[in-house]
Amino acid sequence: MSAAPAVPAADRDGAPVVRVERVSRWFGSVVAVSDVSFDVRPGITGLLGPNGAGKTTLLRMMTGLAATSSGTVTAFGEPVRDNPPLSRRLGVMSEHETVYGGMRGRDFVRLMGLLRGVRDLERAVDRAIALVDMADAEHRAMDGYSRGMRQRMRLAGTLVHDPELLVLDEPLNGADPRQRVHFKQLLHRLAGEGRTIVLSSHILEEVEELADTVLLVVDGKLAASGGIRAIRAALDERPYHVRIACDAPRALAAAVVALASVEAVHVEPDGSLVVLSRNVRALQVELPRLAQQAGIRLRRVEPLDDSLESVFGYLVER
Amino acid sequence: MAGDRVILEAERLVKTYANGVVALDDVSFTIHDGITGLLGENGAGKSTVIKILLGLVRPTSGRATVLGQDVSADLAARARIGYMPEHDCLPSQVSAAEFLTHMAEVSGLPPAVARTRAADTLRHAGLFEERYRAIGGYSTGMKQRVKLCQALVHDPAFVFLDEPTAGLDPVGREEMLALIRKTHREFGISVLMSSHLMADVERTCDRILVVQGGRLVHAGEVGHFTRETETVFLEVDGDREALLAALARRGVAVTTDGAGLVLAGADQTLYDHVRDAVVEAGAPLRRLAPRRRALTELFERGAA
Amino acid sequence: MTGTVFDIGYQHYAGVREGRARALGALVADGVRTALGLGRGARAKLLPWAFVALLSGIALVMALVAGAANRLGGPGTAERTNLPSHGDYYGIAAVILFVFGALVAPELLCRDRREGVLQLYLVRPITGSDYVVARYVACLAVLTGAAWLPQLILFVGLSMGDPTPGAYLRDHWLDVPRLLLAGVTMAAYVTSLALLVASFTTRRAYAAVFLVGLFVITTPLTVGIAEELPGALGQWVSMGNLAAIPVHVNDVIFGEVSELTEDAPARTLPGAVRVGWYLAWTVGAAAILWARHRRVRP
Repeated sequence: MSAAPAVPAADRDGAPVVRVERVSRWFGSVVAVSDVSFDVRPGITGLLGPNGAGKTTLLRMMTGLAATSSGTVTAFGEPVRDNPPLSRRLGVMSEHETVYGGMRGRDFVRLMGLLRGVRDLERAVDRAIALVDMADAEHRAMDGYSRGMRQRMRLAGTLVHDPELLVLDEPLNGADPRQRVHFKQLLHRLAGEGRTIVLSSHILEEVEELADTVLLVVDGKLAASGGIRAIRAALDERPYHVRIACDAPRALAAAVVALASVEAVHVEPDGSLVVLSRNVRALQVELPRLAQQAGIRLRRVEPLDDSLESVFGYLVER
Repeated sequence: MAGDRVILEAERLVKTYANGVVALDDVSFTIHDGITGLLGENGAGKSTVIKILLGLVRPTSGRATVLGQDVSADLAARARIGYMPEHDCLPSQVSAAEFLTHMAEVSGLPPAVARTRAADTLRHAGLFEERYRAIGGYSTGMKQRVKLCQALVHDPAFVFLDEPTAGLDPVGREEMLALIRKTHREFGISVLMSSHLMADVERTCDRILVVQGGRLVHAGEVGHFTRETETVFLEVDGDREALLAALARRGVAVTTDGAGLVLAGADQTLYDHVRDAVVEAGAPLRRLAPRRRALTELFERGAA
Repeated sequence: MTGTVFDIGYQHYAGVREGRARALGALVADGVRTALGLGRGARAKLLPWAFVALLSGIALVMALVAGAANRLGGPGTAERTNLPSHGDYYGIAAVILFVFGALVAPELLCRDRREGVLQLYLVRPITGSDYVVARYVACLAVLTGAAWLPQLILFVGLSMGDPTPGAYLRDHWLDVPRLLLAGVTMAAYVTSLALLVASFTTRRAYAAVFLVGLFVITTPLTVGIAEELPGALGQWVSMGNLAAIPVHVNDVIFGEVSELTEDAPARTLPGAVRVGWYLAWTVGAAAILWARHRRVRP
């Protein structure tokens, strides 16, 4: 477990797209964000945290919409605050879903493009609307859209100027399952083109699918950053739980409990075993060997606290 | 677990609006005792079904009955239904206790009963001293729980929950899903839950109904839709070259899937081959599980 | 020693479910509590009770002035010098009552729609019209109370200020049914119009401002024009003064013209016409309100 990271040293992969350095933000005596530092690189980065943890404040500072109380935020090497030309490279989709009701979808996207000084506007609008698959509804007024359609059109407005950096705050609110699948494919494609995407979401299973790295904010501080597996591994004081289903649970349990790497074995009502271990690496090697020796068929081996949800729950409770 | 008692029956529902739009085209289904998920794309007729079941909209033809009572024709049928809307619906000035007592009375409970049931329902949902403060000061998680309470306070036979985890952070979401399971398992109330999050539905629901294009396209047990396939997922740490070789020697068909391997084979001896190959290669075994179908697959390629 | 563990888990309810009457009663009670700020914190009580205090204060002052006049000039002085009395009270207090109604009615309708509570009502065993009828009754009850209380204070004040209260009561007991009728007709008028306006918006401030404007602005407008126009035309324009319509009914009940209407050309119209016009507005507005809510959707 490392202490809160200081300003990161220059990285092997080249300059980060966004650098947040010792950023804090307070409102009177309320400290919303406290001494947070991290880098964001191309690809998809997930921003997670409980409600009220300071995520939205942090996103607003990252996009230059809000000033920091202390610390700096730079994107593409330039400060984000009071930097209009930078907004051409930045696409932001906030949590607020209100739009100009009477405006037609296409006009909304055109407006976004105009505000960003997009050249060849009509083509850019066509492209953005096609990306979100809203071409057949583009001439209707936005107050006639369903929630998911509104979100998609807003996303088109965010993409019309072809930004390199995308910051999306709960973009999938109200999206139905098919829209979610489509959206994930879109994000993968955009990231594959070399863009940098920061995605804030409460739906951890989806962030796990999409993001290479995550940033977890708890109570205004950065509680964890990096790859999910790596974060889990860094929590070495936390025991691992592994569920095992096999043909002879009691026999396997008896053999497993003899291992030094195993702290406890629970026998569940459904006949599966849950093994508690602090040296999961050793367990991973010894378990199949034991099963083979005893002639027991292993049907299922599942780590129970590897998921982002489990890691999140643990870090938030701490 | 889910029972077979019929709670709600929809018979040949059709809804055509004045402008000619056909929202529902001959939809019939039965909801049994248990937790049922209602899935469907936005604009596919799901909200129309919901409005008809709640008695807010009359079907153009067909009817829906809850415990035998027609919801559109019979006002009293609504006393046995609870509704938790998706959007904000709580008054900010009043306390949860007063609000719930009031709602219970509007559902027909005598005042003394309303008061005690209000207090009990809030307790079961985990709201204690907070219940005497004005709702305006509650956190999102607390408000969602009050929303659920007002749907339960009058002891309905059936509650409808519209996107119950919307806006909740991961911890709040888990708590809400646990409360929903408790509603069925401990309180004995049947649940129909509309959700866009397949993970929520897989974890909580026994059965699902899928509405698409104004029609019911799937209905059945969740277990059927998430049944095991005939493939197995295997994940090991470290270098897997030796493992691939060991598997090949045993005649196991392997394809890669990201960090893991997908093995095909209907025969149960596959597991033994996997175990032996892993030992032979000395590969640390991280994960081994039969692959299941996911509910999202229903939406991935057109109607399955 | 025996020990018992009690089951405090969820209990089903197999008792009586009382239907629409219970629901309506609950909605009326809730409406009255909302209007008066009961159970809703100190801030919610501020405005409604300030208005009640103001209305009562006016009556109290009237009673004290009449009492002083009688003391100085002998019994009956107040009547002889035609100091303001019951018949005049509503003429004086009408505007205040209108503003009070403009604040109460939006609280009863706009809040529920704005906060989304209405959808919870609509899935319960009541109809949309049940809901609005209950809100109407609640508003009417509160405004009637606010209209009666000051008049009753005035009556008690006048009778106690009289050297012979017994005689006063004997001579003036007719004032009581008159003031009760005048109070409820005024309250019904304000309730109908205020709730109808409030039903068109979800924002309380818009409704309140619109209503106050409606009541307060039609007065100078119609009065000014009516004075310039001769005969029947002037009378009918004067009838367009929304603030005065219930006061005309008050005049009919008390048989004398009050201060607000003493210059209005409409005061010369037959009583039946004035009452009929009042009913058109009060019952008409209520009917539209009811009809609008019959098929209301969340």
